[in-house]
Amino acid sequence: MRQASECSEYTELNTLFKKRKRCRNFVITSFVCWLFLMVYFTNLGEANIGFAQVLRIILGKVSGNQEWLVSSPLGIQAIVWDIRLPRIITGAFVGMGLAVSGAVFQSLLMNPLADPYTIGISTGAALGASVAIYLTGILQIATIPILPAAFVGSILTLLLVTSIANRSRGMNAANLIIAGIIVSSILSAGISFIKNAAGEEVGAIVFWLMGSLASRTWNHVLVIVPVVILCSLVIFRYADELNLLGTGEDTARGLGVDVKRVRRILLVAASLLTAACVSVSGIIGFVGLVIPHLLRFGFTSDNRQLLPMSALLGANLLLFADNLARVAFASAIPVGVLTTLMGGPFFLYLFIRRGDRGGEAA
Amino acid sequence: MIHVDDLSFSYDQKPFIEKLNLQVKPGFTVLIGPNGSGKTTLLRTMSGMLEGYKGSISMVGKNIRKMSAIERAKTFAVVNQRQNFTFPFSCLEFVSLGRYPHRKNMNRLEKEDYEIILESMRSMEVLHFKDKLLNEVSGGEQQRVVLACALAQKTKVLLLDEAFSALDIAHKANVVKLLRRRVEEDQLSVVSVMHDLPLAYRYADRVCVMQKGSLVSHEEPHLAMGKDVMREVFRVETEIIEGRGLYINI
Repeated sequence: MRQASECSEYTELNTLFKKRKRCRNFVITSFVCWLFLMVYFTNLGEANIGFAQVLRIILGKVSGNQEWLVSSPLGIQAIVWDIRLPRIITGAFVGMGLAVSGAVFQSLLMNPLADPYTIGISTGAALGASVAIYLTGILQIATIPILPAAFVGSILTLLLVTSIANRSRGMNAANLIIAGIIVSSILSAGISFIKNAAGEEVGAIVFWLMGSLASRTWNHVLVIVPVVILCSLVIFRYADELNLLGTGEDTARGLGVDVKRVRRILLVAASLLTAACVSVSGIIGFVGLVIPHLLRFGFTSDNRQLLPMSALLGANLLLFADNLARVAFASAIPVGVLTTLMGGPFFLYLFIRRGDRGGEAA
Repeated sequence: MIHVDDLSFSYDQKPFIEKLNLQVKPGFTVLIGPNGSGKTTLLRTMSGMLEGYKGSISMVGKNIRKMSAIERAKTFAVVNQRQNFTFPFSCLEFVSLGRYPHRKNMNRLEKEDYEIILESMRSMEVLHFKDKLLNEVSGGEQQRVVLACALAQKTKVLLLDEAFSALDIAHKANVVKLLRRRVEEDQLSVVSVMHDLPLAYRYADRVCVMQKGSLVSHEEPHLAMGKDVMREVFRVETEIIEGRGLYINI
């Protein structure tokens, strides 16, 4: 009798773990795939280098062992180490950051259609970058680097949006979205004004706004990698609380979450993540929206699994899209255009399919 | 178990509840009253969801203002009127959130937690659809899952705000019966806002009747739900038939 009850209990516990096992397998496969893609894409391009040589150059540079590098001419080393690799690493981490912050914003704002740009952080970065391009290239007053200008723009926007949301009866999801929309539309008008003032030089601003990973350097890597790793670790630590916040403020509070504190921490971490991503790559759409959304319906809503899965799928997707943009198109179209071109119809397909099944099209 | 002393609460500076006193003993206490009489406000202040009240509220001998969020969640479980199912959690995932206040060890669920989760789900008869998503099950099933989550918190006090309203009559009676059993076995204190007067009469240990923000009576059902009180508070004619229960003449 006891054996029978233990057995049924075991089966129940076992089914509990089945889903987790699927998620774990996904994470492991994506991680292996990510490592492979990083090396494989470094190998792709106009200059035909070869997989083994790419590996030798990377290993030689990382370990400092000159023996690995002897067989590769300096020009080839420069293509791999200074041109392709920084772009690929930046792309992978931007994809990771956007997907993780998208997942966080969706739960924080209790809206499965929210993305890292919903509360206007990207518009702040865009305004910062536009001002930098305008002052440097057009007025030639001073050389203002785009990256810090975009970063400062997004952080100022975050402060503005949260203080507006705080003023009207507490910083809940609806207030944050409304404050974000208001601030974002004002900043968009500012960008239009600068574009207008830039006259014929408007191209540089428009190209930045489209989102691209072309010509990224190790400086960009040094910004994006630590921010993505640190912020993601903070966010992973609060995955349980994020689950609870996604079920509603009252339920979360009833289950013991210090809602105000946790929401503030997650908001800052996800916003920093977005700010860093937008600052290094411009506005790359759809990764932050589609990846968490897709995984939620395909696997689970449990953020303990969803967040790492989003990180890896985001990294792989942006790597794939950027290298497609780089290699397949002669004129190297900006990756932001490609992700939206690929993501848009795919999202439409999901929307229609869910509608057909009679489910909520969310 | 629960002490509410001199509780006052105002909405937009208009006094709504004034100097309310209430002592709740272990057992099944039902809060009844017409719409807008202050039942939910009272329950939400008791659960710490509404702040800015005057007076004091203590649970199991401790003032709730002095409790941390986790301490509160270990002392009392709350089921709110409205639930949010924006994200497609499975029923099992949702119930396991109930163990959040008790988690140690890097927030990992232990074997004991799983046993409590499964026991709570079994008792609310939701275990057979544990892998279904919450937005795929019926409203009544969702409410049972939410109740199972509250039971998984393993608290001595349960505060329920219309937690049975979407249940069909068979499940409603069943869930109330089950809660009564838990109340007796584990010496729980349940305070539940309910609109179903005959059910409240049949299963409550004590009934609190509220009207315009104040407590009209707080006694055993046959004393609290007398003909005159019901007529005055709800404007309905009721009849208590010996051995059968409360009937409403509509």
